[in-house]
Amino acid sequence: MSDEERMRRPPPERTQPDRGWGGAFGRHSGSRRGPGDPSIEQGVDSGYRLVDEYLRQGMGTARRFSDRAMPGGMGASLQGMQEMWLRQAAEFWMGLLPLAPPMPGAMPNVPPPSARAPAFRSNQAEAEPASAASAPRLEPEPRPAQDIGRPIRVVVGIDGPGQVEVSVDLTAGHSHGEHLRVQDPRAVRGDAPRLREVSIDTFATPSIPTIRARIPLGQAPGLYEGAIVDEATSERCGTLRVRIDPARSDVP
Amino acid sequence: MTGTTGPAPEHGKRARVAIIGGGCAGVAAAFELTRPELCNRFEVTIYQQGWRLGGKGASGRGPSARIEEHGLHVWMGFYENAFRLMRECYAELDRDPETCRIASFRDAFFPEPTTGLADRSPGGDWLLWAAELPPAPGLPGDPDPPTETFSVASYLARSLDLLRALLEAARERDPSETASFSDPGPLAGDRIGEQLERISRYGQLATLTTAIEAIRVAEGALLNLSAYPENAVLTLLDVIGRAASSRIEALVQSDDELRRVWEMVDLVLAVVRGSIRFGLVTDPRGFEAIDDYDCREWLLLNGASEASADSAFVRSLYDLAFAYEDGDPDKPRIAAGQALRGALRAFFTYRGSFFWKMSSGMGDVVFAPFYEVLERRGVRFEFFHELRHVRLSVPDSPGSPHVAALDFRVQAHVREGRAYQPLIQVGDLPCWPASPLFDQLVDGERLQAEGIDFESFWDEHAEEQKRLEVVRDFDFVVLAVGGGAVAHVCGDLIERDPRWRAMTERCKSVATQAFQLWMSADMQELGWKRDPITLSGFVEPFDTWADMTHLASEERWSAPPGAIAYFCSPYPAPAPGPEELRDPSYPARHHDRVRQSAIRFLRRDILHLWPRATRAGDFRWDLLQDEGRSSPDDLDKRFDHQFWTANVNPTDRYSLSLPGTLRYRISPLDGTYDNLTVAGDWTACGFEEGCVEAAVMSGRLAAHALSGLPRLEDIVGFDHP
Repeated sequence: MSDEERMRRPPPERTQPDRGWGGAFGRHSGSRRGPGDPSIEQGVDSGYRLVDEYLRQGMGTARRFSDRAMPGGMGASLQGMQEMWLRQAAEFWMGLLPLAPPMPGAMPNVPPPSARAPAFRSNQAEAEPASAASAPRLEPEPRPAQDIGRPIRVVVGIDGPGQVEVSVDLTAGHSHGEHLRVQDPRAVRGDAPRLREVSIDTFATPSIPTIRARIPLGQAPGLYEGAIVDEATSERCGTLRVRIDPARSDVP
Repeated sequence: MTGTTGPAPEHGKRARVAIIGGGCAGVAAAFELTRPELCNRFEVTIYQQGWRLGGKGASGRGPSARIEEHGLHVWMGFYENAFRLMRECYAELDRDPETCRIASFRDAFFPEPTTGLADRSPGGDWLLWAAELPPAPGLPGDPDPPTETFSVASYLARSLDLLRALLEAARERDPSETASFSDPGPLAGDRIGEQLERISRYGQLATLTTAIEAIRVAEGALLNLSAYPENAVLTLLDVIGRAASSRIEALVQSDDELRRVWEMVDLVLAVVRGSIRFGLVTDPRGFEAIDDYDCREWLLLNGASEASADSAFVRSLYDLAFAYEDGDPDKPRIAAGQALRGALRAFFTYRGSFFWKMSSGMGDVVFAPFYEVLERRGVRFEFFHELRHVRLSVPDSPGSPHVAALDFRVQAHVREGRAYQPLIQVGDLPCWPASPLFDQLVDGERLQAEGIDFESFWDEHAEEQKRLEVVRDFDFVVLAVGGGAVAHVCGDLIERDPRWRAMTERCKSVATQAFQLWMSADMQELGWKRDPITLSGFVEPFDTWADMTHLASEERWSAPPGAIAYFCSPYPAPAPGPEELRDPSYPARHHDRVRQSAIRFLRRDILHLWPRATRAGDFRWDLLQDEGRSSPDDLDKRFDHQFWTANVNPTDRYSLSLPGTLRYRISPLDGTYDNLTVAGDWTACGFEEGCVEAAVMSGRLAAHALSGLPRLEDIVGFDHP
């Protein structure tokens, strides 16, 4: 067989999707415009031109997710006022934001993808019917190399009787403690209520966060975990663990 | 002379196309290549292992004409390409509704607006959440696709709308805010100014009402992100999140409905926040930019709580995509970008109904009509042909690399050299049987007596080894086998092409399992009090259940079943190794393992869905219909007359979208081999997640690669961000 006899595919027009979207909503990567930038006016105009389109799409979505889909969905009068509110809010926001003080450090310090994501906690098969949900402990996220060894001072204050152990594992690269917040720790196993009064206080000394934990009387013993989040970057940056010893005097 | 570039016109030589595999992708490619607009330029032959088309979507009629599927198949309302071809197929088929009960697309598919999620309460009890998603304008496959929504910015706007609706729903349930909701009143510009000043100064919002108003501000900022510092927008989102958290989280312990609302709020905020932080609005890669992250990992990175990332909603995204590596429930993994693309398309671009169910088996509703139309168009079908080897041209041969030959194992010959007629009639509907029609085959009685499984990878029976050669037997190849089979038939490609090697090494698949029950009692009697439902997020090993009772009238029972239930999930087993691939007992062992797993599931877990289906700690086996084939003394044997399957054949394995792997997929448009294109939901087809829509998109792309049609712009969603 001669190769010359073969038919061949036509050359491809392209071989990949064109996923980019450089239209009216787009922006140039890395551009930072501020007051006095002549392009801001053009941007505002562009925004207004698109308000109607957003409203059209948004109204449709809101209607679709309203009363039938969600309990107590949007009221009709609220929908009717959206357009005016949005125009006013957009106008004000467009005027205000360029004046806002810069927030260094708030840009993402994005950790690399991990090799393994944690398992879901709640859909494991039960050993017996109607037994309590198994709750495998989440594996800690791998610690980025650049953060290892960077110390951060933490003060812990505990209000409650008996043996309580608190540990803090800060894993991501945050520069200060003032933006830290801890989510209410929940029991790793069992159905005990969350610890509602655990907080990170940075008011007095922003660079040295104080963890305050009040353990209610009767709180079930066991291990409780709560994520620590850096509110400035919205990154999860660690885990707070509270272990309540079964020997606590107030536990029946 | 340098060879022919592109297929010849009608008056010249027709290009012979060998399509390997008659699943969704192969059938879509055949449908496109034989359109009248192409003026008969292509002579298409589909080579198919075994006796039926369909691939992972194949179904067959078993005892009592019951429908036996590979698993649960539900089409989603955003399957624009799949529905478009399906509608064209039915239109061309032109069945007479007087003589065929499924004559049109609307007969074949019906809306299923209810989606269900199973979830644990904080106390550990199973809770069932049924959400009815309202009908959306139009029908999937309508001529004007909703492409204007295909931008990240547009999705973000819709997400904020959803966020506002959710917060308003939450506000309804917060007694302290009822008064403000009753009469929100117009918001003047100076009031907005006061709020924003407070946001900037104090970083907090006191009420959900103010959070809702702040969403409007966020929407305004999103209109033109280029004008503003991203930090400010992110801060605003954080403030909204904190306000929602402080107001809602305190209530969720005692209000499961509100807990779900809160989880959705938290997830939507994470998606919007992450889209801005990762620059997805303008990234030329679109959502691909975050495909190296697992979806839950990415949500957590962007502020979602662990509870939300573990919520039933997120779990359902994983369940519906079988997104568990090696089928292991402890290894949920799906690329974040594709998962978001799928979820956003599912929720914001569906038309008609969120889900569409089929009125009969998928084989009967989808592949029988395609078979009939394609046959009318002159497509040849070579059943009982299993591809064994794609042979490349020798490396130092003249010209560009290409497929030189295709080796097949011919499993059976049809008597007198005729074409195999694969369909049977069930009532007035052409259907696929669950086993070959042996009376058409040479030595059919012998083949039947030997109990050969023609769809098994482990079956080595061959009536003939056949080699097709380029130029002599074919001009172009569309490789449309299942993704799991590629490594077994493409040795030359893998050995010589690092890209093919990387794809087969990194892009994994997972086996699946399913079982079906036919029961004498109806769902009410079993204790299910709600409407028919498709429910996911339930307990492993069978996390998804669909009430398929509507199929009872399609089957031919002496007494129609009161309820029909399908269950499916990934199958927890790694891909078979070299030893297992040589072990002929492998499929039977796993088939039995699924049986045991299903029985254990019925005994232990089903009571959470059907509380009256158990008695004295055991499943009520007497509920199962078996047409009198079990002894009354052997009630627990009745399960053996139900249907179950372990989909462990390489070609039956489901294509996973693991983080960090999608870039290794090869596109149907790739032109490295000038007479080869690929098709299947394992390819880089623009929607890289195992489903009918991805397979159809890939088939259309393969047709485009050979013919220039359909135009890439007409393949809906190919250029989706």
